[in-house]
Amino acid sequence: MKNICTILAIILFQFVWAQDPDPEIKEKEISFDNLEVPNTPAFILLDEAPTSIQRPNSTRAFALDLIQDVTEDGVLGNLAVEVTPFWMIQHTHMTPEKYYGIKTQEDGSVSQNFFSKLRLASVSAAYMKSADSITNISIGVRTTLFEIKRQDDIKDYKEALQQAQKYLNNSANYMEQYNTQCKIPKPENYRSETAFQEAMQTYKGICDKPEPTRPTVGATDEEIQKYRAAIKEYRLACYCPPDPRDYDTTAQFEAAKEWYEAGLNAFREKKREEDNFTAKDLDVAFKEITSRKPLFAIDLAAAYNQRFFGNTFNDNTAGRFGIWSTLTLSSFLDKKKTNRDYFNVYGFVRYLDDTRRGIFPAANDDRFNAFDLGVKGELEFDKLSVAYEYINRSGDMEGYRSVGTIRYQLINDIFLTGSFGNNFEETDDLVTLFGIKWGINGALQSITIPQSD
Amino acid sequence: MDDSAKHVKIDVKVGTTGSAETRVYLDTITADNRICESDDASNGNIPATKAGINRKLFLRTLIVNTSLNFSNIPDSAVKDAIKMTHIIYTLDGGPQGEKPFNNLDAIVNDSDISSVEITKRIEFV
Repeated sequence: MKNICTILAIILFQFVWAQDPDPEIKEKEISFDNLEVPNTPAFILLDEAPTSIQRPNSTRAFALDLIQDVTEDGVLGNLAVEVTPFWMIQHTHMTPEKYYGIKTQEDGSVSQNFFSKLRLASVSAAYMKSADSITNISIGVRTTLFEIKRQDDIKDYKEALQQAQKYLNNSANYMEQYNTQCKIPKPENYRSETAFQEAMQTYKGICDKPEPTRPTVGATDEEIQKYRAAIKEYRLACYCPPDPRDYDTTAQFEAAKEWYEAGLNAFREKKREEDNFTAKDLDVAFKEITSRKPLFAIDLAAAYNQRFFGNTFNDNTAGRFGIWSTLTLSSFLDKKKTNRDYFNVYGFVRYLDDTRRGIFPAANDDRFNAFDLGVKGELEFDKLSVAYEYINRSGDMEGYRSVGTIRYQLINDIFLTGSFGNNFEETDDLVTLFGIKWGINGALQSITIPQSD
Repeated sequence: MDDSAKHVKIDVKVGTTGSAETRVYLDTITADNRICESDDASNGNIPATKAGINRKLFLRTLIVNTSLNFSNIPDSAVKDAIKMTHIIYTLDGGPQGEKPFNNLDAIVNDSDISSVEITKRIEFV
């Protein structure tokens, strides 16, 4: 246990150390701080997770899973950690499209990469002590093999991305934006409609014409003087900011500069408010779209467990190995709602190879093979999900698991789970689990938006 | 400027305690006239970058705009930080060979003293 705490401390230290390497880049990123915190495969292998059938849409950089069977002694004594290596590495070449698993073709159509989630594979490890002095140490991996997204979701994502790129390009430089319009007369700056129209006429009369033609190298002084006079008139009427060369006295230039700065400052303040709103808005839109479950997905997971008897390191045996796949079909309960609610149907198939310490003679191990087939129905709301799963086990070990599960998101990072039902065995088969999951976001849990296509 | 097709290059070096971004324009500070800008990680520095060829730059104005942000230091220290800031603009490729300039013409944002714009104009003659 002490070692586990040390490993946890090291991992948490890495998160603190990796925080915010360059705050300047932050505003050009989509941060994914609302990813899911699922049950770890290392617990699922041992049939000790609140739910065995589950398919996360995404996993956080790091998650801690604490479970307690309320019929046994102890307080959240079973512990698992799950790490998603993808979020531990800086992905400089990962674009938002590539991350989401879409590609825009030359003709403008969008194609899906059905295997894009493979890269988000997670690794987990679990520690669990049972009442008969057996310590279980498990490791597991999980990934999404294949997923099909809805065309509407892809369209929404593309639109949000285009809007973000437009916003980034526009907000890159307020001075550039202001300069393109600061000389154009604005009605509110004139006392009367006539005065405004006159100013507009003057502006159009000069600025709608092309810039004066520049003399070529070797032009006479007279040609250059003539050009300078023409470009001065043009700049005064059409260019921002004011140029000291265009004013006869320093006082005139200072007055023009003061006028320009006041306009620029007002523009800057107005844009900052607008952009701040847009940035928050875009962040919410991206999080909502990327958290939508795909229409169909197939996950693959595997885990291995080693059993230790009587707290003795050398007294151990290979415990259980399992490989399983989860098929998920998700449909929206209400398509118009911003935070989507779902009805999820799962199919589950698992192969288990279980080695148990023999009773007679005690030193020999017995090996069993089993095959699980299961289904699950789930209603998933904003923070609450309610589900029922049934798994039939056949082969050397027979039985069934019939469990109801409830899950509630307490705050953004903390989830509470509880489950009740029957868990395979013929005796001691009551499932009464309570668990707390804590998802920790990594500093690198974001994707940079390129400023233009 | 001469009548050659030789490229003129601009190099900008910014020394400041704040963070900096630099953009280079021809004739006017608008998006269409932007020639180049500093990288995110360069703190306002721009390595030697082509601005145009000699004969096409005659009587045109190169405008180098640097935005400085001093939000990392107290407001009371910003004035001194602006004074301490130095920017060296170097043009190469013209008839006079390499020519350094430096000048500070700072515009301070009224509502946010930590935000400063410095604009340098260089006319090609």
